[in-house]
Amino acid sequence: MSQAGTARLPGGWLLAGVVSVIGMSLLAAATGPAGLPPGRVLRALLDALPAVSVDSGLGERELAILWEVRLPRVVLGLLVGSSLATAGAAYQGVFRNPLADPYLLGVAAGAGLGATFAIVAGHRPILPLAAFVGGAVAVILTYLLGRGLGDRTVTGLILAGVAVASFFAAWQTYLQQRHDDTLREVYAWILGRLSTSGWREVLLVAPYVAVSIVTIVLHRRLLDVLSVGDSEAAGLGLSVGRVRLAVVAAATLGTASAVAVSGLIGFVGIIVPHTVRLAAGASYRRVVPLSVLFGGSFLVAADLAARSLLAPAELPIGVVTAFLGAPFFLAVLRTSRRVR
Amino acid sequence: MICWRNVTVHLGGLRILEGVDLDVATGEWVGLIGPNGAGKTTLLRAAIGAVRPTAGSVLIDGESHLGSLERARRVAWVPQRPFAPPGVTVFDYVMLGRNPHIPYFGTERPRDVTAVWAALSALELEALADRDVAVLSGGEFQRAVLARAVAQDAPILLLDEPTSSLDVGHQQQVLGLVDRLRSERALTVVSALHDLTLAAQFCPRLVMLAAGRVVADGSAKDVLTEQRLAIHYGATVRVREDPEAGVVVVPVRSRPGTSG
Repeated sequence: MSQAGTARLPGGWLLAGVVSVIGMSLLAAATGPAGLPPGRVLRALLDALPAVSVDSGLGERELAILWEVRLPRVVLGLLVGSSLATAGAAYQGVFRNPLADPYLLGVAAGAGLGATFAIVAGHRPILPLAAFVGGAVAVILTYLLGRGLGDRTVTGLILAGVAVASFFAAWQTYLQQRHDDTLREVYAWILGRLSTSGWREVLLVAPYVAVSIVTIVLHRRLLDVLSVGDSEAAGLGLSVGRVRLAVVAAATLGTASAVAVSGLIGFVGIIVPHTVRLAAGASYRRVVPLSVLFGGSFLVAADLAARSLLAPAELPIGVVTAFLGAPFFLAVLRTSRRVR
Repeated sequence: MICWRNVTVHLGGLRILEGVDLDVATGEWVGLIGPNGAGKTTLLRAAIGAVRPTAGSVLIDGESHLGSLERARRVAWVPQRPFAPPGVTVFDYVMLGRNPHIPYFGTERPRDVTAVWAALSALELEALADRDVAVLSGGEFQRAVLARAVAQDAPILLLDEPTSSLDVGHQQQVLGLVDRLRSERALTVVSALHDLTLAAQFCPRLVMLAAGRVVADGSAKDVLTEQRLAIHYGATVRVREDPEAGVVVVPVRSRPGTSG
């Protein structure tokens, strides 16, 4: 009789996730036009802790770059990556569909429409709010319509999502055609980008992302119960509708917030949960916490690549996540098949 | 104790059950028989709240409005075609049965782990604890599903065709295990069964459903008559009594030109 089951998250995996977050953050904070040695960056961070005093060896200008330029961007990357990866894992669990991604119920189309509204109206500062509202409205609409369609199954919800997404996308295309002078700007937003002006964006999304991630992490065991299907899960005492609503609402909150400040970064919500699932096991008690950690470090790595590969030019981060992520994902799939 | 009181169920505009009354006392094993589409599955699903009766109610220990968690603590259900989630070990699968006993946002405690090992041991599955449920044989998976129901630690066990996908040896093994569990744990068992001879051997009381109504209720000898099986199953059978096997239902091939 070996260890009791596989659902529990082993400490080794948790440690690996934390190390990847810290390591990737240090690397990203250290890299850029003005090179800051990682050791000094680490000391500067330790120095900022209460009751700790170390000399980082960084000059005033370097510290300003670290605190006002690099770190906000790294932290935003962590928040957006964690949020998208966790939402992806949540959607895959709730819909029992490995192809589900955070944009399944129309967040992307709704946020796209909201952002396009803001851009064509010339109200650039309200773009995050408009994208957030658009994404949330689209999902709420999907939820209300889907419940009317397919009573107790998720099929109705997914079909409603397809309809709502097409409708919003068509509306957005129409707006874009009418205002083709802003086409380039809208397109750039769609490709996704982590750009920060100090800590503003981080403070804007952090509360929502935190609520979203905490809620999904709390539901991780219940997602495992849901894996046997709605009626068996109900027989095991699960209020399936309540769990689904809570998890979808939390995932939508996180996704809409992430999209509001970073545009439509694709692929993170699929690649990260699947990679940790293949590596560490199928239980959501492993997949969810590890998606939080590796989702963050993955997006920080992708952003690092986006701003260093063609420096000083910057690649859209969505291009990097797909261009580097897709081959990596295929490699993971191939090796895991061979092992089994 | 579980009672169906005048239960009528409509699904998709069709009447599936009509005024079914059935009382099952604590410790009884009732075999639910009847042709395909008679309403056996719906009767069981009404008891776990998966379908809502249009009229009537199902009383569990005298209560008709139990919350889903409280109901799951008292009634365990084994569906006809349970889903085997890939990548889940037998141990974790059986642990799902502990859901009604684990705090909502909590994780399993030592006593849940103990209950799971006890269930695995009762169904002789300890050696397979680390195996992926998706690669088990039909008989092994059926035992895993029963172990999940046992881990649920509910006094009432509802089984929907627990042996339909098994060969005759495994059918005997599974029903034998159910019988042992019933006496060891003082369970009340209601099981839908297709094989009438096996039903007669294991269930002291048989209830026959046809077209959504109870048409017979009693011992195997009273319920399983050639005439009744001809009327409700449209089957041509001979019912024999064997000193060892008890009531035996033998299908007879009807040939054109001869009257069954």
